[in-house]
Amino acid sequence: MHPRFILAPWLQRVAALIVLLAVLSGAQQLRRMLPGGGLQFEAGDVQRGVIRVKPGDDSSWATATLADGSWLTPDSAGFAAAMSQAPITWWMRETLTLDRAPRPTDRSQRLYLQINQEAEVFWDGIRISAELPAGRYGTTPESRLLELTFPPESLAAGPHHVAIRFPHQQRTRNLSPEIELHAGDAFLVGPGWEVVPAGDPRGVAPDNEAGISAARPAHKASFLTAAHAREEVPGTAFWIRRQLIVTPQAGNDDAWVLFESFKGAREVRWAGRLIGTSGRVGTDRATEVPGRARMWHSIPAELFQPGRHLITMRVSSHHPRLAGEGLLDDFEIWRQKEVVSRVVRAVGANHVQFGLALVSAVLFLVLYGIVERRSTYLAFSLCCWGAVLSLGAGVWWAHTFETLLYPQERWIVWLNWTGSALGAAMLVNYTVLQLRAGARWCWNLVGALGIGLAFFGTTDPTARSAAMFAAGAGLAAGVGVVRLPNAARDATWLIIGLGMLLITLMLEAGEAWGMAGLILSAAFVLGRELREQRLARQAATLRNAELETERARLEALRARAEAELLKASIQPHFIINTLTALMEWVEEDPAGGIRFIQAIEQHFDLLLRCANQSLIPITHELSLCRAFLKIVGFRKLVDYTLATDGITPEEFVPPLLFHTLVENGVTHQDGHRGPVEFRLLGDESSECRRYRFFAPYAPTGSADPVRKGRGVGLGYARARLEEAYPGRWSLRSQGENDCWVTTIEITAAPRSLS
Amino acid sequence: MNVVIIEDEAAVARRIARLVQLVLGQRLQRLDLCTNLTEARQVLASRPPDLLLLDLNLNGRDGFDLLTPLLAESFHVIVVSAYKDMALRAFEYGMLDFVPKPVDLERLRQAFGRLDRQAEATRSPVRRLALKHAGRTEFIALDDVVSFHGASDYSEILLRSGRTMLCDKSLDTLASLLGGEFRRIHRSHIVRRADIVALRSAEGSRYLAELSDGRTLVVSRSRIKAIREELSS
Repeated sequence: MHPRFILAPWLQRVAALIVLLAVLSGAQQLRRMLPGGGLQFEAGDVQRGVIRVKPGDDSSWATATLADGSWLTPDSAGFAAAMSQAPITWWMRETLTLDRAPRPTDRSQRLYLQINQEAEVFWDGIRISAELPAGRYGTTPESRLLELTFPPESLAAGPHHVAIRFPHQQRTRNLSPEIELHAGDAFLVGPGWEVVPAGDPRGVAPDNEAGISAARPAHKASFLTAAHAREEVPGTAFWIRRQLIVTPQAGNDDAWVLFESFKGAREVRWAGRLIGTSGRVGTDRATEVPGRARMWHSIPAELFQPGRHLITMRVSSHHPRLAGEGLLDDFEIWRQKEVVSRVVRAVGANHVQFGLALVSAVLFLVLYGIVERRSTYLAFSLCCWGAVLSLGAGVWWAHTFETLLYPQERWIVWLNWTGSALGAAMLVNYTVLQLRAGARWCWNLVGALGIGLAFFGTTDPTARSAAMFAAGAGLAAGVGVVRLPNAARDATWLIIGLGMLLITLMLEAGEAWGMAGLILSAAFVLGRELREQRLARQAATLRNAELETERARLEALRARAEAELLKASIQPHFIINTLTALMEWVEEDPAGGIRFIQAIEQHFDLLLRCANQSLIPITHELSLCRAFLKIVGFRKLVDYTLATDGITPEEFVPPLLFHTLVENGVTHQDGHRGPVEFRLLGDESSECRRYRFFAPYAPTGSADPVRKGRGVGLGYARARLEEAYPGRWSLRSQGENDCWVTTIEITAAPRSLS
Repeated sequence: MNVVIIEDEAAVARRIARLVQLVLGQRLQRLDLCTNLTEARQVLASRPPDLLLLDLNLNGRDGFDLLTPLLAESFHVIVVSAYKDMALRAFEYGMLDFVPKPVDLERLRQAFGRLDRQAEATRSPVRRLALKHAGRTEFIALDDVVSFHGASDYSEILLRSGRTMLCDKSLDTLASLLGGEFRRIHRSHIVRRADIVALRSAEGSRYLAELSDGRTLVVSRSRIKAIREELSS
């Protein structure tokens, strides 16, 4: 059904945009509800990490107030004074809102609090962490991962109050502990990486806290969370480490650490033991040997026991990396048996999508090259080639897992970006062409701008590809929305395909499958186009067949008219009368009889020579007429002549055209005995060539249908005129002053035979 | 006798005229040549001939419609034409003879020979007679005719329905056309052979024929013998 809207066009567009936005926001909500995502926490009215502090004692939160009941912020007056009092424990509180309760499908039911010093945690007024030893002072601000034991039902969705009691830090005035709550993976739980410059590469490995302290120069150690790991790191080698908690669910099997994209040379240690190296750590590009971009390191089962562990690495990264890229994305730890299926799923899906895009790209290219040079075919082919490049980067990535060194990784990324940019740009171009939207170069320019904006505007390099494609798909969908009221039914499917692609891009879940959906809709549109072409071809063939039959019919008519005239010329009446007259001549005037025979022969000869042609020189026709008149003269004993005026010898006319008129004129003589002069006058105007034939002494006003021009003779003349000058001739016959005048008009000059 | 020739081709007309003169010789009193129907009608009205020679394809017009009114006239018609396919039909309507073109002297002589004689048995039988009636040409089927009775210039035709119609042709002319079905028994009577029931003589050496419808007609003395022979055989 053709979608018919009864709204005004501009209103249709607004409605379509609203629908699109509703779909997108719904998609966002949908994304949140997908299993496997972590719990999301939103801080309450207080900015995370900056908390109002309040001196308190060991009593519970409810009673911990200042003398005047107010809470202090670090920048309020009296904060420094309060801080200078010691020893004292402090309270901090924060309101955190859980968006939902934990679900069995969450990867972990446990929550961990990351805080950079020792503390006691209260959740909604109930203590959920270990008790602080009384009088204990915290020493150095270090990242602490506190295990928290939440009472059942305490993790409902909604706001919760977190209160933390901690001992006063005398060494620092800056009391702004950072607090993060993590809903952890099965294995990977914990705060981010810590970084310490290595100094002497051969120095002691900081496998424990003492080691870090010893190795640390005057630099201040900074925290590297997973997000911060993307920032630039110092030029020399350095140590990074991270704490992990292996939960009891982890079990007792061997485990594998996977670094997805590690841009450096490294030595990996687990709990102090070296479990793998990649490349050689060096202080500059000359001394460093690049490590592999991706690597698995196995952790022996006896080391991978539940509890807190430290993973430490000595790294360097001096070879080229993409600008804006950090040292590493996050890493993952997988059980041995889960590795294979996960890899297969990811790589397999990628290869299938790659194959689909490749086949589609080649198919549309073949269509363009061999079947028909439609610009839509080429545009969609190039769009698929873009997807091929982009997905091909993933194939390249999968097939070079074992060997790719990190400096080479940027070429894969560039391939991915190039493919995405090409695919996105061509997607806009294709949509504009397929939907026949005007101002193609305008749309393409806007598309290029949008794609460029997506590229440079996305800070996260791994998201650039998707961002460019989303920009292209979004603009293409915009074109579809603009053209929706005018789109033919088939093209509406394309718009739907674009919408699905956009949804998958927004969901960040299987955008390649969205591309597959788009390919399907393009194939659908193609199929309908081909079907229309086939129908048009059938109609044309039918028309051709009809034209052929019509032509054959006219040919048959012409042949019949020709045969009729030949028959008429040699029909018994003509021949027998001629022969009878000839008998008389032969008996009474033999010499004249011989002349009579010669005239007959001459007429017959001229007749035979021209009967099968469609145009003959006018001189031939006039000779034929005069030969005929000679014969009739012998028969009727009357002197017949044919006078002409305004005739040029180079003209061509259909054969026996004027002969027919002469025959008619002779037949309808009213018995006048003297000489008879027929006249043929030709004249020409700018529009037509005109012949007028005058047959004198013809009784006018007769109601005889033959005189009116429907006899066989004039029918023959009309058929010949139609054959030679289709649709541009006329023949009229009427009496004028005792003379019968036949007028023939031809609206273009007679063609000359070449 | 007087002859009219209607022929639009002058050379052919001349030929026919010459041949007619050859055939008739002294018998020919007057010969008129007409090249078209208008002229011919005038001539036929003012000076009716004994015989008309007619070309069926005058000035391109259809022959048969030309012929049928002329067949209702008092004179014989001989058609001289190239259109042989009309001959059979023309015979059925009471044409005397058909001479195909090119005109042959012997054939013409043969046609003229039919003028004064009874129609031969081999002749194509007449099936319809053309009559002038109320300004039109009417046709009566010969099967509907009982007998013909004549005066000098015209004949009376008695039909089975009892109706009597007038025909411009004299009995002599009709006798040349009618075949063996009919028998002239008297100068003034032509009856069907089959209708003659009996022949008997009456006083004053007159002979009478009794017909099946009860009428009694006089048989002429010159014909009685022949009729008796024909009836007995």
